[in-house]
Amino acid sequence: MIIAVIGNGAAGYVAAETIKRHKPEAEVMMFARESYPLYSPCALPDCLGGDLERARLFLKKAEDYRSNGIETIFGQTVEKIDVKERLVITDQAVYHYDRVIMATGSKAVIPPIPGARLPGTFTLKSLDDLDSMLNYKPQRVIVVGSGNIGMEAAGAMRDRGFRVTMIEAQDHVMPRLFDKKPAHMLQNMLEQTGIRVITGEQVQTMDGRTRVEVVETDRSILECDMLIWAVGLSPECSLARESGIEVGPTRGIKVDRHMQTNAAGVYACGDCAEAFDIITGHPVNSMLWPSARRQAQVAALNCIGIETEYEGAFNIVVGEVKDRPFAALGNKEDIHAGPIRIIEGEHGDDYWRILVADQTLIGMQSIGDLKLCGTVGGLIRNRTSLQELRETLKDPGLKMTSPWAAEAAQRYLAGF
Amino acid sequence: MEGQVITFNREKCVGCGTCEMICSLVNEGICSTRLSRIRVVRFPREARNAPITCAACENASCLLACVAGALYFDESLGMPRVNSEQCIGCRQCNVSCPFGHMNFHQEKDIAFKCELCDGDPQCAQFCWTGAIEYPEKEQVLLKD
Repeated sequence: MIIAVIGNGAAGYVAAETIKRHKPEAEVMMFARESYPLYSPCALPDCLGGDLERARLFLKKAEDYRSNGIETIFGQTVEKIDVKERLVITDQAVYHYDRVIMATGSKAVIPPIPGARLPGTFTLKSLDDLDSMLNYKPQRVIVVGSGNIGMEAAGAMRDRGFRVTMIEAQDHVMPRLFDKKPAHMLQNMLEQTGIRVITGEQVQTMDGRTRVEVVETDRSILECDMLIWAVGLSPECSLARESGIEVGPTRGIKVDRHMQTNAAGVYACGDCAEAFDIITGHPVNSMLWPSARRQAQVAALNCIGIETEYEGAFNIVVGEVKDRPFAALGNKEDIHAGPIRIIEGEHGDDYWRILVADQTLIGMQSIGDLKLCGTVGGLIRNRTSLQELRETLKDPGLKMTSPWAAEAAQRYLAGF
Repeated sequence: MEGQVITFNREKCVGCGTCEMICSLVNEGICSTRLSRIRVVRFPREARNAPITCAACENASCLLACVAGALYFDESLGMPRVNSEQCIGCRQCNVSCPFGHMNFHQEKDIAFKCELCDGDPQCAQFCWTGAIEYPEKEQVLLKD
């Protein structure tokens, strides 16, 4: 059996490795446009800030592919998949496959506004992005967007001694992950480190003679010599569209619970795929590393005939502002249509909130102490109800069978 | 060590904390619950105690979460391990572990976890009540 894997990111590599582990006799061909071995895009900001050597971004060496029996076809661009004849058509050759796993990833969004691609504007998604940023010498940096990448990029540039301004179009930072109150706390923390934060303003035009100099929002004019776009990622699904593979409402490749697309023998996983949320069941682009890796396992196993269902995507995001960590797990307040109950607490500088919908835990946001966040995350993933936790706290037997749940319930939910 | 597994008999645990002390002493050179891999959850009202350590999950969520290639599955130990040279201290694994086991070392800025003292877990050696043991897997299966 010949399996083509398109993409060499987290999803592509795990897919190839999983196939080889369970079915060593399967032939795995991996296609990638970039020629680098697997590296961690999540660690790019650490390298940008000077905390991490560039060499340590690499998670695999070129010889690891060979020793794992993965044939690499790097430096070629896949132009089309002929799903009827089962052919992968690149800019240089045509290859036959029996199954194909699409792990084409995502690209950083650059909004269609005047000047958006002027010299001095960057995204932080690939190793090439990082290299060009490291070679650029700015004074004043604007980061547009305050999601995970925006937060980390802003912190990294500040660490390198530049003046950093962050612009967020929504009314608070990290709008996809945090509710207003904790987001305001995060904003204060950012400002204390010397980053200027502007919320509720939309970048409209950018201008400059040889490079970006002026950024205009709907309310102000700002000067800079470097701008980082961190307004989000969009699934890379042009290949799927070209090949007649269905794309879902979130603009990711539509897959079923086996990560199979509408075309027979074609699977998709990672940032390019549209999965579903583990809590709401709604279609989502998870765009997170752990989700990509799990989806890749599921796609690979189904591909070789080991039936496996995806559990659904679960948000886990952790960050840090000046050594103070924060985490968001599961869903935030505005995801659910119905009423949400918020159980929150503060202890010194630490803050946490747990969200409950229909008597069931759906999310947690925490700043400072993250010790028991993982346990609460597990309870959220298992759709644990407040009632169950109350019973656990009352019943010594249950306390002993799942002491971690009792520990978290005691810490956060006693009295609810 | 292959084929051996750590077991807890929570009925026997008196919550003395010897396991926590010996764990941090052996692995970090000081006695401190903060740096202990194993932890004892104590329920004083019921006078019950429960040691918790790595559950050695199959397809562990910490392994899936690691963005730095620092966590790997050690086949001979039968459990995930941290390559501390490679860890970037991002804490993804900490918030992914449903047992609250993945720990974070504030001073070293890296994750740490139970690695069974390389196959000779000292918590089991020093547990004087017999609550923590390190038997062959088969023995455990027979008991069940």
